[in-house]
Amino acid sequence: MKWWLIFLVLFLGFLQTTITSFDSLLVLLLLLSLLGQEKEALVFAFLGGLWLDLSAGTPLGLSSLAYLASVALVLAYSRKFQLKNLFFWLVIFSLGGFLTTMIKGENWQWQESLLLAAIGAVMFLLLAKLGILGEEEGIKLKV
Amino acid sequence: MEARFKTFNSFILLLILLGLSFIFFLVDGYFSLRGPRAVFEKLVNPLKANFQLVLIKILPPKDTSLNDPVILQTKIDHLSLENSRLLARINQLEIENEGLKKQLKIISQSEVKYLSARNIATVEGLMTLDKGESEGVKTGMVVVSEGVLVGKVVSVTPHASRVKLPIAEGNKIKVKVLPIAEKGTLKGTPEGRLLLEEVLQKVNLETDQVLVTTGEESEYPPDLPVARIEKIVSDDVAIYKKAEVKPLLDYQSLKIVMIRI
Repeated sequence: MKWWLIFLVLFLGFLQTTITSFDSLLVLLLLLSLLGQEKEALVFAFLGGLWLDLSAGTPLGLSSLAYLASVALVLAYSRKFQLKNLFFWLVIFSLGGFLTTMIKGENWQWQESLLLAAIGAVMFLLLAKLGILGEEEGIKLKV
Repeated sequence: MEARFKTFNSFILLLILLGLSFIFFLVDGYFSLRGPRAVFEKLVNPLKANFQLVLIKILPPKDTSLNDPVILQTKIDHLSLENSRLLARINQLEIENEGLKKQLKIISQSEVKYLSARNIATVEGLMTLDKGESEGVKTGMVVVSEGVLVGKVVSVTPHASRVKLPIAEGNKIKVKVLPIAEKGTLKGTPEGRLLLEEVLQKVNLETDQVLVTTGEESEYPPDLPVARIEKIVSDDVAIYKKAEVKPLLDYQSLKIVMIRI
């Protein structure tokens, strides 16, 4: 367990209830699960969700359910699809945002899904450039 | 399903955490976990309030309303009018109260009271205040500042409450345009702006006209100023007129607000 992640989750949850409603915690959780940190992603989805519910005054456990569902989606399909596929990242980020919004019972906004997809794309390109997604044969951008 | 996970343990962990989340959700729904929430809010609310103050200092909001002589004059006029109306009402009520006391021999108290609360966070149409159920705040209560409508309490926890601002997406408030007293509907947009809708074409709208609540839906008391017209969106073919509207308050920069309890 990486302890700095706990502070990052707390910080992102705090930002989410004080400055902007953009789901930065979801971005972190999706990244963790896409990079293969299964247990961390699941534990932080649960704890981060609880922290967010306590901060925002929403029913306790609701955000945890939403985040766990998004992380489960990634974990279930990242085996099936190539992680080196940009399209997969785009779909996962926008779908993760949609799923979380729906479970939380909030109004879904396509702009937010689009922004999440763009963040997913930037993350993919950045990680590919750094060689974190695997170096064999280079990264092929399959769209 | 579990075959798709890296390890079987992850799948079990997912099931356990999903179950725990669901249990928390049910327990909070049925028994309302007031204790843990109260402790959490006592600890975190001051932190949020201070963070909000630091944020305002770092990024000072542009309070254009105070620089605008038209808005300022409108506010002063409205407050003066409200003040004289309230003074007259107090006078009338005192006389009435004295009469009732004599008859019933009881000491009654004024019905409308205000409770001051700190704005600890304002995120996209929702303001969090540091006063909650323990301080007597209930959902549906109206929040004002400087005699201007801030919003309505939509959820309450032991030491915090959430206020839905007029700019919240989908929020609708029945208003009338001053001084012509024509009615319309104020609507919050997904971009966090305000639109005045459902105003008849024949109505002569002008910029800087102030919008006040009608008090029709009984959700808000009447004559509370909310916003002013910024730009009229003209479309002669449409049945109704539209206007882009600017709130009289910068909700983000509000430090203290008053809750009508």
